Amino acid sequence: MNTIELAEQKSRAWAIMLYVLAVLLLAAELIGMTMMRSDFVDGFWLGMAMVCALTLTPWRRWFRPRSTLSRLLDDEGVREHRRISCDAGFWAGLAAALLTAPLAHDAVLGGYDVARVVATASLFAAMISFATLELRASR
Amino acid sequence: MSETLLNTLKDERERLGLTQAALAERVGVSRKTINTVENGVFIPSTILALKLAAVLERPVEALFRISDPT
Repeated sequence: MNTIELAEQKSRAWAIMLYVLAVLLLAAELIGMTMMRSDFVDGFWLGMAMVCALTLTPWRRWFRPRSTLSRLLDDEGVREHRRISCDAGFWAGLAAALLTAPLAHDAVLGGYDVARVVATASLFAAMISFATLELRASR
Repeated sequence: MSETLLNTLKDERERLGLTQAALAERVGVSRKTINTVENGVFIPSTILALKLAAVLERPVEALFRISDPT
């Protein structure tokens, strides 16, 4: 298997992992807000959110800048997908903030809940968008 | 007015008997990027366009042209 094929395979696996992480993040948020508010679920959500945020960074290039594989996995096509995804995340976060603002104003939701909803919406939209663009490109 | 970038990348690649993966390897990008450029989904940077032109032995303007439907 040459580097191009390896990059292709890793990129597809990465996109599928993004879907899984996004769903786990959303599930942690929904469970934490509705059914089970506990320190464990809160901590799990926070950990997931940090990992999810890291997936939207060019971390491969930071850790292994000279690797050919890292360069292929973060070439200009991937950077464009990341840019589009972060745009989607921004708009989703803004929409979530505007929708939850009245609830926070009327004290239905606390500041912590609003922060979680906004962060989850942003990350979920960005990751789903990123994974979809990557999988579509590899067809 | 809506401008789109058309390209002859697939024809030129096939003229040289290259697969998307082989072309990707020669220009140093992933096969996905070649695929999205060929399909007109992604507009490549000037650097990538010049690299593609060099590998495909054609001038850039023979590979890419602007289409204005209006």
